Amino acid sequence: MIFQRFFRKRINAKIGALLLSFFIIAALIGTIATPYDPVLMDIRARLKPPSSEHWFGTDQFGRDILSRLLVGARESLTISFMSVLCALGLGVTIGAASGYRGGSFDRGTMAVLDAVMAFPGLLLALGIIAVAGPGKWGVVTALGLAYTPGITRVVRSTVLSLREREFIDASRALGNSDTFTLLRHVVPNCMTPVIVMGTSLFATALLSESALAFLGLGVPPPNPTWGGMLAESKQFASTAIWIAIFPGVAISLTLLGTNLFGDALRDHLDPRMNGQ
Amino acid sequence: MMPMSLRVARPDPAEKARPIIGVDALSISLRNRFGETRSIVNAVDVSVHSGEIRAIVGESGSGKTMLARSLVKLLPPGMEITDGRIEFAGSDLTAANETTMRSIRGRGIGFVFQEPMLSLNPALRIGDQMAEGLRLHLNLSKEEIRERSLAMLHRVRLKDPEAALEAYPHEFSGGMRQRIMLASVLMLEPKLLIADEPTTALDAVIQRDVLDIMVELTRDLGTALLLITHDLGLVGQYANTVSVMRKGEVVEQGHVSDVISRPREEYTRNLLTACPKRRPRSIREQSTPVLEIDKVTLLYAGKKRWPFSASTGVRAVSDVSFDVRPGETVSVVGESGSGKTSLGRVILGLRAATEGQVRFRGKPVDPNDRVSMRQMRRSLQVVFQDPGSSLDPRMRVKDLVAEGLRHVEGLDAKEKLARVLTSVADVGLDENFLNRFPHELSGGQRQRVAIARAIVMRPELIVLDEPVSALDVTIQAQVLDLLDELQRRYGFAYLFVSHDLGVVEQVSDRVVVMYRGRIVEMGSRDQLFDHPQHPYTRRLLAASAEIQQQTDGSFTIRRRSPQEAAPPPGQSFYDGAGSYDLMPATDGHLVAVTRNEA
Repeated sequence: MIFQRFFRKRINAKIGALLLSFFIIAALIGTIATPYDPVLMDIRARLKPPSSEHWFGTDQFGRDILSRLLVGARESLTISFMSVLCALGLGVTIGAASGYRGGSFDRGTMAVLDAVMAFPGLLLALGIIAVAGPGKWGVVTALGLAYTPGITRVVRSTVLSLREREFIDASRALGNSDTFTLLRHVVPNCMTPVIVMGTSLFATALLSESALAFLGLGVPPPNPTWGGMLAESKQFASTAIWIAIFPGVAISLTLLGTNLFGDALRDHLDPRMNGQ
Repeated sequence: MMPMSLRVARPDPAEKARPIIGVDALSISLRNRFGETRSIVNAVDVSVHSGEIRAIVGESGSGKTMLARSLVKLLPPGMEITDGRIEFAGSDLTAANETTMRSIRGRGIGFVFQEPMLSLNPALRIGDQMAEGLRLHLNLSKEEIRERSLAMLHRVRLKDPEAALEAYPHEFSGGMRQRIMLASVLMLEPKLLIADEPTTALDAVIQRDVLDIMVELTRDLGTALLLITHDLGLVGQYANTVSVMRKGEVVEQGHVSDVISRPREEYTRNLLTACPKRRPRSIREQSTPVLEIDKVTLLYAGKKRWPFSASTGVRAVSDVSFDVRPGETVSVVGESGSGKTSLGRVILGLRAATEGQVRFRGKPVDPNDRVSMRQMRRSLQVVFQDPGSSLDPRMRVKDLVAEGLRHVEGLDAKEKLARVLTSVADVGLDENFLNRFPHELSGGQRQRVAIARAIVMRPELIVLDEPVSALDVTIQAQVLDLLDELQRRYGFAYLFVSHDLGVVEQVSDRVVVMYRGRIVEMGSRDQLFDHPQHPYTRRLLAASAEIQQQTDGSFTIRRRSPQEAAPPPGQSFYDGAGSYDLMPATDGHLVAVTRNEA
């Protein structure tokens, strides 16, 4: 089986998959039920350290941190996932069309994308949110657009080299149209680097979401995201360190999981690394 | 007997007792990530004596390259020597550490690789690159280094050695680069030179020049030569002794004259019989051509210096005309850059001709007319050179073969599958292959799939673009037989594009020789191979070896030595300058002559 082959003798794949599935399950639990209402404020129970009642303690408004983390997992993971998906969709489409068509169309798109890439990703996201307005989908759009040029570049260069391969000529010689050739033969063959890049972008998106929240441009309160929770904790970090630690650990472990998994995936998809 | 021209000055190697390098029961295995090992070379004994040229011949996967690399301990990761001894100049190399090996590489054992395009560093001047080895191994002054480099470049017959020292690799052609490589390796006067397929990437004429220089130089310097090759023709012409390798083992070794003319082993015999040779071809009636190529010129637009200025284009194909009749095989031969592949692309409608016209079944081939192109492509198919590249790696065999049937109307899934099954059976594969991916197939099987994809449409003409040049000799022979059989069964016409004269001689009815985008000679196969007219055709023929099986079952390898031919009275053969005409030498045999402007 393909999965056995992937996991065999790859400790990073195992750890990565374990961490990721742990947080995905957490996010699923967060959608179904949480110990407390994640937005319910309880002034009497504010800034309580971890106890048997509140496992991860409470924040400055007396909200249960575990509940907020579970719901936040859903929000944060969805935002990261959706923005990567958005970047992949746009990037693959533009990159494939641009690389395959070539000529002035290619030069035009690449010039525009180069201009976009000249802005740091976060700065660009800031600008887009300013236009699109804050909120979950605003963040998704902003991050998605900010990551598109990178994906486009990778896809385009892969397509450029694929275009010289003979099976593309072979497809045209069979009488296939350009669109068919592109969809059937070109795009599937450039997915390997795209998938690998997608996993690493997922980690970046998670981090950027936190950064945006930290700047107050993420999902507006009281809805929890990991980044938002971390941002809110900054005034209380000296007295109630648990408010900062738990979301921080959640973010770090997810990053670690994604990176390990991405590394293993890259090794697996690189034919030279497949032990024969 | 073989001509001995190149071998006369060699002392008999058997008389010298102590070999320069002796390999004793050497085994090499590959270890993968899971710790599993696979044997690559198994208990091989090979020795090379001073002044000897030993060839190691074998097909891909025979372990010949790994054996060669193990001698300088430059094995790729995962490969390791598991057993045996390598004795070089009295010391055991298998036990030598990296420091010792570094002093031996270059100075003791020189190594020339296959791909001259990759083995020279593009960022360094030739002079600096040549100096590297000298500086490392010998204590010489700057002037001495320069002097020696110049002398060596002279000896490999580079045109302007002074300028070459200051030039970068990209300013030289493949053949010149391989000469430079040879010069820089032999400059250190190693005791042994290992050449791993040194000329495989080069054109036939250039290949011969480089090998002649290599043999001459090693003889003068007293360097022993270990020549790794897949080409029995080369072995017959250049080597004294030969080891035939198969699946990691030496199956037969000895003097070339013994091994080639009286092979004892079945495998050696198979290798020799698999070499292409002329076969009788039935002569067909004259009928309406299926493909007419009418004064086709293809210009690749170059860069424009300034906006609105005329671009400096490259004429890939220049005023070429010939035709192909149903059921016949016409070959287009020429070296790289002769325009044969560009012409193939024009015929397939993958590129538009700049001038002239290609007509298929009387209708013009025009890439811009999509509707008629789509119909035409059902009857006009192609098989490319490298099946590893021409098959989509993500599709299964059945989908690959069925793909063209999308454009045949009125076929339901059942009928499609039936057509696919027939085609796959036609190319000698069975149903078990239908669900495999290209990477699960061998090179020969992949090319069979590519052929099945072409014939599933029942075309009238198939363009075969170097269809066997990526394959081993024995596989090549099988694929050529298959093509021949399919032609007889279905009556396809073939346009066979190739640089390999041996293969062309076996398959063609008629041959077109191209040189720098122009036709220099064209005629029936026998006319062209027996009475070549144009000097270029003669050069091409002279560069290829001919392997013949005698009536008593023995084999001979000889260089072709075509006779001089005189141009038609009052004319001179076209030499690449000015315009040209094709003049008949004999009936149906045309040769290019310079047009008399007066």
